[in-house]
Amino acid sequence: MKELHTNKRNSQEVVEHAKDNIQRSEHRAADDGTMRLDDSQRVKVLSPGALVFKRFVRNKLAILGVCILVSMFLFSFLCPVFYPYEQTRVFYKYDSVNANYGGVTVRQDFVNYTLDESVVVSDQAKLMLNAEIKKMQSAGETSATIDYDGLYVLEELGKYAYTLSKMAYEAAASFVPAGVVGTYDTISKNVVFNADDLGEEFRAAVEAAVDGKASSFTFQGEEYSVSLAKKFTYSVASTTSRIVYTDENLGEEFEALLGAAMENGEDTVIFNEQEYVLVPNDKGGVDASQVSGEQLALVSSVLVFDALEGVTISDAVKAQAMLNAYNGKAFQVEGASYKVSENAEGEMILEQDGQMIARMTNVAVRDSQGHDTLSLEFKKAAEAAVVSMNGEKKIDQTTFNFMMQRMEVSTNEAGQMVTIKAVDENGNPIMEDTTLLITRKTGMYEISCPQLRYLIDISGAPSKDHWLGTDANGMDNLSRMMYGGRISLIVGFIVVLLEIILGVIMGGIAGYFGGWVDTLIMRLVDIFRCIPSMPILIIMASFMEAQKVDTYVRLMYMMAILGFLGWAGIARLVRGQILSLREQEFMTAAEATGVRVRHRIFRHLVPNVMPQLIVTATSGLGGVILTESTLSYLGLGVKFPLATWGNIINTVTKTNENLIRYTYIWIPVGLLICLTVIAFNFVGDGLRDAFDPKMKR
Amino acid sequence: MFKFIVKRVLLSLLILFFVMFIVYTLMYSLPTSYMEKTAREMASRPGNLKSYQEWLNELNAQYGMDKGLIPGFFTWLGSAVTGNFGDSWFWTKPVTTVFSESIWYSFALNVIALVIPVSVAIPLGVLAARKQYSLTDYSVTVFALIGISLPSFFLATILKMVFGIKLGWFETSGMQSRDYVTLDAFGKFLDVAWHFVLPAVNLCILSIGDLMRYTRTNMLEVLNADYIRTARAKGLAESRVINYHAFRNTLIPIVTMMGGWLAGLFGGSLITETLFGIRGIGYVSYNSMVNGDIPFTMFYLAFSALLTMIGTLLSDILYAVVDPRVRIN
Repeated sequence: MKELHTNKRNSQEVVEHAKDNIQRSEHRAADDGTMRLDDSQRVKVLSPGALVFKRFVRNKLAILGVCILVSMFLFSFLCPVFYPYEQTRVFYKYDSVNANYGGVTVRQDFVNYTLDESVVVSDQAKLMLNAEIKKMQSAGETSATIDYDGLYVLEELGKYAYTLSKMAYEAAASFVPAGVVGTYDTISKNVVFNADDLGEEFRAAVEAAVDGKASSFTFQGEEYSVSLAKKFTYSVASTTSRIVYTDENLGEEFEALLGAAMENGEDTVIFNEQEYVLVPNDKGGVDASQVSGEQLALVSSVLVFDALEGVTISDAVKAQAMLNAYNGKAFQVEGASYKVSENAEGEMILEQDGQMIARMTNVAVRDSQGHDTLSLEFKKAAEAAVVSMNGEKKIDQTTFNFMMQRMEVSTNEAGQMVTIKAVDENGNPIMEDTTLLITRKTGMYEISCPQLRYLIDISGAPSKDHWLGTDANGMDNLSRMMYGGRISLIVGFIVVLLEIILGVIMGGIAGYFGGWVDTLIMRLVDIFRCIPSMPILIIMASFMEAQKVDTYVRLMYMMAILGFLGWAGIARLVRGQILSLREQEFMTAAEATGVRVRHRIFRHLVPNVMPQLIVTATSGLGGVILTESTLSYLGLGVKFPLATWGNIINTVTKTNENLIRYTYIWIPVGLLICLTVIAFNFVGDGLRDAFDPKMKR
Repeated sequence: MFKFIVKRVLLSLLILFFVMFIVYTLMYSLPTSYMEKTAREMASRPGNLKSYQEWLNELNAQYGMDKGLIPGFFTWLGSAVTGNFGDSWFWTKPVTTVFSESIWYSFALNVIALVIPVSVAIPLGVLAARKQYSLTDYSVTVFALIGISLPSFFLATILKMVFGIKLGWFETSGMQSRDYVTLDAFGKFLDVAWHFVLPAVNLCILSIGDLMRYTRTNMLEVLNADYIRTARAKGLAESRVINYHAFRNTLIPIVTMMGGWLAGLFGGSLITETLFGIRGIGYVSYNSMVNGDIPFTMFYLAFSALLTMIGTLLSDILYAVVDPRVRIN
């Protein structure tokens, strides 16, 4: 206790004495500004760290390297904080693109408008209507009788409209021409009829004829011939045509009229002031039916109604308009009077109470969605263009001009960009003469014109908002460069850290323990140095690519593989250092004073290895960044949506055209990689020279 | 010396054995689904003559993937030692054929990329060391560092843009011009040589820096040695000191590096060959690896490991030849 007290006093004295000394020396130095030999300020003793620092600072290249690295870190880690855009934000813009505005169809398909709901028209007839009308048009007929589950009369009203009426009729007679009626099989003794079954008696007659080896027989006044068609099979044919009556026999006169009508290709026969309609039957002949009346069922037309703005036309009006399209008669629908007439330009006009409400045409002009929203003037202009395309010389593309309201981009209350129709200060629409392109497509004509569209700002050129433009995904390049630097630097640090941890542990163990442990670890080091790391990275990457591993997981794997394959060099270095350090006196001293093994390694050996380790790590960082960017460039490292310097370059240099076009992207990014790696090398060299001045004599 | 070499060779073989084992383990641990998927894709390629099952059976027979890890490894090693590597999946030819078709392109490229850097870098490195801290030294150092720091793909892209597109002197990719077939033998040779210029320049720029730095460091070390001081002290001409006493000693570590270079001549350059479309071993193996061509990939991994091993071995032996102290240990 007493001793301690003395000690304390002693130290106090020493301190005071020292203070005194310093004061005196300062005083003396201040006196004449010179230093004396016993001046304590004269010899500056620097700590080893400060010495290294001083030597490092003197190296211009190293300082340059540090400056580059600091700015690189600021660029990658600090700038993104203040930069307004994220790396994956997609930018949009309004831009004028030549887009589909509408389409023109010259209507070919006839559409049915029902006139009378009570008349039932068979589906088959409706289905075949178009084909029948086409048939009539090509044959130049104005009316036809068709048989689809009942008889119908198709009549032409005008070029673009036809009516379909259902006939009330009664079958009267059927004309069956001469020809094969069936075959007779001698084994089963049966007749297979082609059309109508003539019954058991006929079969018996055939059998008798065949058995009697007769070549003909007569059945019910008709003569039939029998001939051997093939083995065991006879064909049975009637040698004369005949007429089968449904009810009463109409006599010779009717038959003569029928024969004449069939020869002339007529559809009707008037007999006894009765009209009979002739329709081809399945036996190759005709059926004659007695017509008792016709009912108008529907009107079928290719005409469309181009109504004035704000006018809607009901289906009933449409049907009546079609019906009266060519006769000029006025008609009443729901109390209003309508009339179809022709105007000065030769167009069909639908008038309601003397006022034009719509134009009827076979050319349908619709907007890009297929809706009928375009103005009548526009429709007329488009129709004129289509007609001009189908003049004497058919052309596939033409243009026409039309005054259209200008579109502008504006910001709405919510701050979003929207397109609006431009108006001047008086609220009148601003019209501009727009050139529209009309192109022939299969079955239609496409109208396109420049339009404002909300687009992803792909590959935008450098601008005020995006200093380095935008990439192919519409993301800001400068922002991606910053985040790319972040990834590259982080990958570099983590990989080097992994390498150091593994390398120091393995090298430390090998160097300190020596013997078989050393041999084993060094052989392992040899093995790892032999493993081709780039091929393995590529294989693992393409495997992960095939398995569609998540981008972030891939990043982790990549760092782990890089670290795992790279520790061998560091282990070797650490082991070499430790081997030589182990033999030095301070280690013997440490062992002699009984310092524990753990302390000996981590307090005495490892700090002495640190300089080399720091130098290697710094230069290694550059190498890792190079490897990472190369992998990313090959598309096997860090993937989209994450940005890295490597994949930014990759996306813009895929084709020679892009290579030239996007020099403002890939050259800065490449320089960033290059600068970072150079800076790490500069700093590494500077550190090495500073730690080991012997090299720098 | 003989004993040393035998010892090193045996050790190398042992290391190679384990490297092969690791490579095999890696391939072995790829999920079966991946192999099956790849085999299926291979079977559906146009012009393919084998069915999916045939591909897979062949793979199993060759690599023993259906056996356990150790028996499988020996199956593969057995066939690999006899030079049987099976058929490449991607190139649909025997692996060894693909290899012999491509290796000489790589070799030619690498010979150029070795001779030029050596003849440029060593004199420059010596010069930089002689005039330490001069402008020459700084420019050589900075140039060397730029060479080391340039990513090969970036340099290749710049070369393509400047010489391929802007100046139009070279084609940016491929090994032959359009009119290749119409040329005579010498014309064909010149045509291919013309296409090799850009990749060779790329490789040269990339490797000059490293060698220059290495030469400079070694030369500096030698120049600081006592025997140089002695040589100067006894009044030898500076040129003789540098060219005779110093330079020959500088060559010692460089000669030991040669082992690695010799092996590297066959190694191919993955990135450069791929980017310039030179159908060397690097290009071929890159495409194989990316397309999941397991037979060729296995071969290439084994081949690379073997090359590294031979390089290290050659370096060790050369070092022992140059520096007798090594042999004793």
